[in-house]
Amino acid sequence: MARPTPNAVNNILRGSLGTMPGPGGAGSIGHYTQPCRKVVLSYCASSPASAGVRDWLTKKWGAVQLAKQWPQIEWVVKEGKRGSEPHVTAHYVNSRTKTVGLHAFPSSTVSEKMHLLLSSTGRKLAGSGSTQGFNSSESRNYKKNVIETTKGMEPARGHWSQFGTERKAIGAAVDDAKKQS
Amino acid sequence: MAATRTPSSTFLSLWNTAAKGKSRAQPLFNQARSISTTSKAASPSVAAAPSAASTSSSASAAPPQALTTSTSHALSLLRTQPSHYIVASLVGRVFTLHPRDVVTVPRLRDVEVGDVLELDRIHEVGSRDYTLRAQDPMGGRERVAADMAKRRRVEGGPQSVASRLAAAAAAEGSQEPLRLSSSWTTQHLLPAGLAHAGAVLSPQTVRARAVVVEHTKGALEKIVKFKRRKGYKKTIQHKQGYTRIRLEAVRLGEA
Repeated sequence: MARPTPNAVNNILRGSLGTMPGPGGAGSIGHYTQPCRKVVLSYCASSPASAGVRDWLTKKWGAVQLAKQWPQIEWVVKEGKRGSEPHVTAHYVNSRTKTVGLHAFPSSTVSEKMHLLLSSTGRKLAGSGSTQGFNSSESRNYKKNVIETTKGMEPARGHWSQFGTERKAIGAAVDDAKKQS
Repeated sequence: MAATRTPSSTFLSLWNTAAKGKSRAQPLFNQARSISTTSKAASPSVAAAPSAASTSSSASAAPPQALTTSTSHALSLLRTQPSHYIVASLVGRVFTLHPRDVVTVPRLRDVEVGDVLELDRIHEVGSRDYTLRAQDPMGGRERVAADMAKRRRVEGGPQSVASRLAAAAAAEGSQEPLRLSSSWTTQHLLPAGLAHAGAVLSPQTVRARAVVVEHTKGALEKIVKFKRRKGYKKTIQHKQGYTRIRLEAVRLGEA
């Protein structure tokens, strides 16, 4: 049975607006996927704690500009129950979420928190004792591991071996290159 | 610190690239012409390492000989190999990067996640058997005198400081009026052929594209300030901001 096509604003089905992570991933070259796929903003229509969020939603430089800047992200705005606290939840392609409370924040701070969520990949932040492990969720020691290589990727120069390596015949390589050129 | 964009002469040297550590950058041979003979002599064994070390230490004053002086020939040799790496400067630090490597640098305020960056300070591009390294055209000379000499050619005039400097140098009768820089790099690494000294490869030679992956924060650091018997104790909590950038591709040019 075919899904009914939306012909009016109030007939749009939530399922048709969903986002799926694209192909590629961490190991691919030249394929970049935005890690944040959905942002859900919940606020109250009347409480003073949500005043900043309401201001941010109505301003042109606020929600509208951000949604246009990131068209690949699904933006959901939910008006919560009367008296509910404003918060924003970002969903990432690694199936993790990050939630930030926006209680009594001015609209400028709401913008900053949005930028913080959009700049993240959803990975767990480093713990205080993150010196062990390589790619585990707790080991985000960016001071120590400055360059993170893809797992299984061989270095271009090869691995060091105590027994030496097979050397190419240098003259043969040069002669072959000269013959080809 | 602006990158000097003068065309630098580039040399392709055959390094013993597979042996990491101390002997990484020492050449297997000295004479570029007698390639076949030295390749037979330098057999792939443990004995090759000390022999290479002795020859290179005796010739440590002169830079290593090149396999070719043509950049296009060097690039064609590099293209015969499957994987490449680059040595590039990023945020004032030098990194050795392969495609798909994610490098963590201090927080960059003017980039957004998903931005594509073109690395413009690439000092070296190499593969398993070949290395193409940008050489410093100044040879480690002090850049101040060179810039003044350049300006002298452009502006002219007998009263300029630069012309007086050049005249004094000419009066001295020295063959090389430009003094060797006194930095540690030029004193120790340049004679051994190990320093880049700021020289970069041109975009026509190699291009590297990187993507900003995320802005993140490091682990929470608690810094405790304390003075005994004074009632002074305070705890400062700090999370360092980082930007992570992934090298997407290294493209070899034509020249």
